[in-house]
Amino acid sequence: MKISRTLTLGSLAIAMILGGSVAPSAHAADALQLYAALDYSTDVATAFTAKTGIPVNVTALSTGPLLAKITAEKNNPQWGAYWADGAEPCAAFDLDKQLLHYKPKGAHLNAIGQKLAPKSGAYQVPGFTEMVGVVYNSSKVRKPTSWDDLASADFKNQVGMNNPSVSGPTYPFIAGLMEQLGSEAAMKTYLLKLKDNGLRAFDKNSKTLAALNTGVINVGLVQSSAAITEVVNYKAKPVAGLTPAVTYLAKTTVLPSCLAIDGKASAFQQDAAKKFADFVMTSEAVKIMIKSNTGDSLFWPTLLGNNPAAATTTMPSFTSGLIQVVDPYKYAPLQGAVQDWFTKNIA
Amino acid sequence: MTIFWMVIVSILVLPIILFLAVAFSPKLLDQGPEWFTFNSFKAAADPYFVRSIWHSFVMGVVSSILATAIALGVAWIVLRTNSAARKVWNLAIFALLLAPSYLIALGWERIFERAGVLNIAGIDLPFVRDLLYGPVGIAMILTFKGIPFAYLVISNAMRGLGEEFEQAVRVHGGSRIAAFKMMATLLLPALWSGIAIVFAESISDFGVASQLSSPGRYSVATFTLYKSVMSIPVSFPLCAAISIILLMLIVVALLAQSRALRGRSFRVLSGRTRPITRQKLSPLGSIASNVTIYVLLILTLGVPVFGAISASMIQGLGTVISNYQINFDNYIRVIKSPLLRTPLLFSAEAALMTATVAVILAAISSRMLVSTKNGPGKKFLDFFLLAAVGLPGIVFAIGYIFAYNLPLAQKYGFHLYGTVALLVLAYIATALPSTTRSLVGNMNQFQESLSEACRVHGSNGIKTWLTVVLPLISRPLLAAWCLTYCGTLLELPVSQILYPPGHAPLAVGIDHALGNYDFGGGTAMEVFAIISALIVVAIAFGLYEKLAPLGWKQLGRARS
Amino acid sequence: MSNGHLVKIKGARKNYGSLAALDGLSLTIEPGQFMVLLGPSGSGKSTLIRSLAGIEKIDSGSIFLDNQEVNRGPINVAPEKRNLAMVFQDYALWPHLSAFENVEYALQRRKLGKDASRKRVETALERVGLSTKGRNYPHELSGGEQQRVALARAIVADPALLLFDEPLSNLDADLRERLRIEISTLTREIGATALYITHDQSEAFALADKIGVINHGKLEQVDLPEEIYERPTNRFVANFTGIAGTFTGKVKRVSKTSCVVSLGEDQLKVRHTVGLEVGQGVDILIRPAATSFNRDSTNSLAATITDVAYRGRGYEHAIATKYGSLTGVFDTVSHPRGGRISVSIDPDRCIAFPTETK
Repeated sequence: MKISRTLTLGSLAIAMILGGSVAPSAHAADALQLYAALDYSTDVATAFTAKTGIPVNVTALSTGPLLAKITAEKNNPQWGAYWADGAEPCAAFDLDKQLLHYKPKGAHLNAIGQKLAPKSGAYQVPGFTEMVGVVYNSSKVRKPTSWDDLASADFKNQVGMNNPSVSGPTYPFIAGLMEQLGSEAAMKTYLLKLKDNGLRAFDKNSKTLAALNTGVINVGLVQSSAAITEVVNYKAKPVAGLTPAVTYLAKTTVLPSCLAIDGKASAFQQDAAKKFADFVMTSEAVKIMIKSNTGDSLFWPTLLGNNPAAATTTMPSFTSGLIQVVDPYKYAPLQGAVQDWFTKNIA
Repeated sequence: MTIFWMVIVSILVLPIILFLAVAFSPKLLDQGPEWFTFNSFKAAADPYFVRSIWHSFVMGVVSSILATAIALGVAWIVLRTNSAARKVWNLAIFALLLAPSYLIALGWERIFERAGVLNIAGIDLPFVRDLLYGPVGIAMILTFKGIPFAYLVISNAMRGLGEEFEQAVRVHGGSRIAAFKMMATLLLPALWSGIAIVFAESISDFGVASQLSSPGRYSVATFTLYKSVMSIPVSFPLCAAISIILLMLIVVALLAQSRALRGRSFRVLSGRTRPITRQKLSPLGSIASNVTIYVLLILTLGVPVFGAISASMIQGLGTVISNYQINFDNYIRVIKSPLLRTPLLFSAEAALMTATVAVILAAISSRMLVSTKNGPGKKFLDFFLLAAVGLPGIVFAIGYIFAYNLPLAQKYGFHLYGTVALLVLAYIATALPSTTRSLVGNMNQFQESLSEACRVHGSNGIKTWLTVVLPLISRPLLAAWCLTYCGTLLELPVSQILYPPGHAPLAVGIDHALGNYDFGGGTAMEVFAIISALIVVAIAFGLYEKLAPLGWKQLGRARS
Repeated sequence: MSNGHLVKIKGARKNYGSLAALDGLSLTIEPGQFMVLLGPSGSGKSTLIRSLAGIEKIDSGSIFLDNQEVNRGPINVAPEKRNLAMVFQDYALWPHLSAFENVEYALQRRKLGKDASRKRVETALERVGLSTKGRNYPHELSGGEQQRVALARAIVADPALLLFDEPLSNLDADLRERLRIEISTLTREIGATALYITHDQSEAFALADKIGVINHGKLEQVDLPEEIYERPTNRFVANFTGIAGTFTGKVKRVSKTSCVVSLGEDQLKVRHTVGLEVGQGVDILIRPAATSFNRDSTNSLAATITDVAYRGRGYEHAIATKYGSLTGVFDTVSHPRGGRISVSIDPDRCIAFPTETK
């Protein structure tokens, strides 16, 4: 079968040559490998490269595929730094001894920043959003007032939320429910009550918002940044009958954005990642994140002396008594089982 | 041959095997503490998973049989009758192949959902909505998705089938229906290929499942699997165990196929094959055939187009009827954006390479699959080709990381992970199974004596391929090329996991836009991608019509 | 002298599973000789011709073309390097090429110039009477025309060995006869060695310089056509080369080449080729040419006419005797159905073989 050999070899050669010509991409060895689920990360990386001369390869994906990739690479990690919303995955990595602990030089954190950053230096928290922003169509339903209110007749078949198995920021919300309701069992009872009232689960923020936009639901429990984006969008282009508004229920859980360094990466990667962490924890970087003007930019910085984007001012502040911080190290180990339960019983 | 096998093993077999091995041996790839365990199977035996696997199986069987049956009818109308609708269908088929499950499902949702089109028009059909969000809706959409695959396979085979067999039935007292049955029997290899392909595509389809199965709580295996892969923390051993069970379903499909075809010969394409004469339909038959095709087109193509329009051109549809307006804002915005152009060009280039290489490999593989020598190699290839269709892309992509991120490989300077080359190889491997299967029907019809005659009259193997085999299957090859191109252009799961930093393929960009609440922009990008692919397909077929020698083109052409 | 191959096959063996298609077969074909292999379907003749062509490979034994071993163990000279051509049963014309291109294709190996090549193709098409059909595609030609193209394709490059795989079996009687003559003359004109396989004995006798009768992967007899007909070495050969009928009886007297067999009340004198003993049970295989309605003969039997068929130059009758029926009994005049008649048997053209014990 000389023929198949010739054909196979020939075609592979074509593939390789063409493949090579398309992408002489910077090799792992000479660039920081940043795995990021935050839209402003590319802008920050560009500024970092401009400042330090260290190139950054950004692999930009949502949290789910990003973590799947990291897990699949476990026997030979390729990432240098990981940056996404939610502290539980970082806590899980840390418990698994996968992270390099590091404390950036000269970062002055505000009160909540100090509360969110782990003392160990397992990861950095340059800012936070909240879980959840309750976005509701005020043309169709009244403003919900409490968690129990969502289970009332007024909201029958009206409420939708994200599936924590797919949506990265949603497990912290459930962890927050456990925290304030006092136990895992109480959280389950509550969600089952919502389900009896017609709660529907969608993949992630965008899918839940799509359901809201098309009238499938009229209340969406999503990340605060997504909720705010929704309101801003419809203010810019009003549509009769769809007037999204956001409210926050007691208690709302803080969702930190977390940057972690791979403990098993090469010296070069770790060194570059440390420099990157230093940069991220500066006002210069925070300004870039906000200026980047993506959905993710609607966060509150943890660095002293930085103001958030104007649209986020409705978010309840640390002093409002509305919000809570949960311990990711307490809830990370429960994540698998809770999500499993959610998939089987709620989704 | 050895090289062919090395390629197959490295791009197809190794990633699959490594991924599946994790089910038994998590420690092998650092995915758990055990070197050998059945724990993940215990976890997979959970009623929830078992139910979703069973659901997948049912959906696969129903949709594959329905899609193949419909495709057979359509192929007959289009190829064997003078029905006017046939020309429309030929144009529509690639659009159909391109329509992402997501848009098809979206279109149906927009019509039936609460506050959907029908609802606004004052028609409330809650039971239809319940059907849509359950097995019926999933099976329906998977069937629609499957029709073009089955059609390509069947129509290629039907083109090569002379009409003398049908005529023989008629002159021996058989009715038109009996003749149709005879034709169907002769087309069995293609029909079975169609069923196998649609079955595998259905059980691995993710778009429909993600759109419809979750809200309706009719869980199917792909979605369960996807959830497991994406869940935090992810358990690959569990995913692998589910995949293995999924593969067993495919073995069932393969066994059914080989049992049905055992020991029969369907070699009907030869030098004596004459162009067929189209049947003149009666006025009633003509109307019926046109209505059939158009209704089918509206259902399969009209609905997703509507979904695309509603998502990209209408603000606020579903909420209100009073002031919605159709505009092209999203398109204008997207076409100016570098977020569309660069990824579209990148994906088009990758799809071009993938299609070209995959078609060559598929030609070899399909020839091997139909060879009369029934060796273990053939069975092995058959299994892995189907396994690769049946395994959801996400699983395949993870297998690629396992295989090409091995410390061992990198130690010897084998840095493929994170390169465009690896992404393209994965695309090729993903495309190879369906591309191969789309050619099997034709290869099965190819009479061995035609290539033997070449060898005997002085041509070596390569020349024989180039001068006789390739021309004779040139049209199916072209169709397979287009199929692969279209399939690769919008491929998401493999792109997501394997794309090299800085070279985001189009599907990743679209997913990103959709995930960033830019539904209009994301859908507009999708529409642009589809249009660009249709243009490529049109160019490909146009070039074929212009450049191919007369003898190639008249193969399987019908006299009007 | 002939430019054909000398073909030698030694102990060729080929199994399909447990079935032996070739069972240690040996055969020599002299350069320029027209050899016909005659055998029923499944006898192995197709396997043999395909192994010679190089499209199949024998399991053991060896094949020589002009003393070059082309097929033994791992050696397998590719078909295209064997300098041969083949006419296939299903024609195997390439449907995407015109008649001209089909023929031209086989000439490419000679690497002639464009003009020379065109001339050769035109000549070849002319020789098979298709000079006006060169531009037609196979499906635009009749069955006979298609096989003619296949024939032109086979001869165009002056190969040293021509292989014919039942080339006439798909054609009607009239065409077969004409094409057979063309095959016979064209092959001899180009001087190639030829191997022709068929299950039709009349084709075999008409074409062959030599005939080989093959059964169960073995050659039963290889000889001149006349010898095969007159002196078949065994019952299978006799049976397969045309008989009018078979009678069963016992040997009464036996001499060196003939014997007298008793069939109940009658006796027949017949030939034998294998040793027989008095009292032994035998089957008498009677050639059609052995029978006539010659009333003077002593070697005759009473019979009834059961059927009569007009054959142009006379009539062929089917008759029934006490000991069995005979077909193809020729006479220039017709005898009415149901008429009683005496049929005489030429002792030289019927042969006794011992009855097979079952």
